[in-house]
Amino acid sequence: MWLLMDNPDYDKQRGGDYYLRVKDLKLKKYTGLQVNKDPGEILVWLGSILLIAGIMIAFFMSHKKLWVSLKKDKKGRSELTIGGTANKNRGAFARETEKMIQNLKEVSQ
Amino acid sequence: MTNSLLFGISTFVYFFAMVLYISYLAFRSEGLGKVATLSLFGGVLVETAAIGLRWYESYAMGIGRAPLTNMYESLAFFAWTIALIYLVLERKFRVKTVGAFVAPFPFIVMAYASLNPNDIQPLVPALQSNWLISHVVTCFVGYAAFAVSFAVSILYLFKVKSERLSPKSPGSFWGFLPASSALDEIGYKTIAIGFPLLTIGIVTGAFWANVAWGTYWSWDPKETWSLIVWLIYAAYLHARITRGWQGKRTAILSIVGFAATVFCYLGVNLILSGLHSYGGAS
Repeated sequence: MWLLMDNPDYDKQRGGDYYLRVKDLKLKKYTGLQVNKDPGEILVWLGSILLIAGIMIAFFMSHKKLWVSLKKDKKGRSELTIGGTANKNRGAFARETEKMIQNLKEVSQ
Repeated sequence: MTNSLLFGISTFVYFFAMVLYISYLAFRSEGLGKVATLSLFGGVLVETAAIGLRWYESYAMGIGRAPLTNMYESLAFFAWTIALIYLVLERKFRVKTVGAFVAPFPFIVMAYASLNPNDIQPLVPALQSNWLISHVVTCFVGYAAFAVSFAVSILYLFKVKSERLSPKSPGSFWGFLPASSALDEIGYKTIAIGFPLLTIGIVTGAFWANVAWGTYWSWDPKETWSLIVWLIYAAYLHARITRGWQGKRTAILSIVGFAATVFCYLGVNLILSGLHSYGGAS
């Protein structure tokens, strides 16, 4: 059986000897609240910042080594030998070194 | 002038940019290449205006939020970012021919966006926060970088095959494209840009979730899939940097990674349900 608040005489339509009608309805009002206290939030922040900083360091910085040796060859001219290595992003490192060598060549002439 | 008209114009400009880039590849005329770059740049400008206008209009309507909240807006922003990242790469690496493979993306994404409802709706109260901009922008710039890497990786696979079949054919179609080593490097550089951004996007998302829903991580489908995407690209970078993977293997990883990205973006929105309801089919 349905009793509708908006239509109190709804039950009348049933056509019986008696019918039920809604006179009043008192509902308790309620709301859902969620309270959250997290004293460790600062640690999560710290961890996240470290994670991102670590990624940046790992991917955008590399160990680079350069060896430079200056010798005299048989004719008494100085000979400059440059070698280098990097642990990542070698293509860019090779271009960088190549450019440096080019610059040195221009200076020496 | 409304924002949707401007978005429509930018879609057409992207279409012309795509056609011009492809004709540049076909006819190899420097002039065409210049016009192609200019028109893609023009498309970005028009779309920037469209995003700005939509932002302004939402304030004028009293809703007042950044235009980054539903499927339409996110797709439009995605297209805008792809075009922008590509333009920066083209300038930096001088690889105009790659445009024929990347320029279709902004157009296709905008065309797909136009199939979605584009009215400005208010945000549910839980999501009204400044975290929105930092979270969405970082995630989508990451996605867009992965999209560019995907296009370049596919091109790499074709190019490397042609180099093997006919090593010395500078006049051929494939000879006109950048060397495979350059493509390999661009594919890596774009992921190296996208990965930290995706990481920041996940972290800002976690903090936003903590403010809005009370937990950092609730294994919502979007969260799970973004973790999968993150792990694939982490594997890519790890394999490349510490194991020395290069070329074909990393190109395939990049393609797999982008497939996961597309599922994380569209598949999760359209097939799975969850807390990230910004772009459901409804």
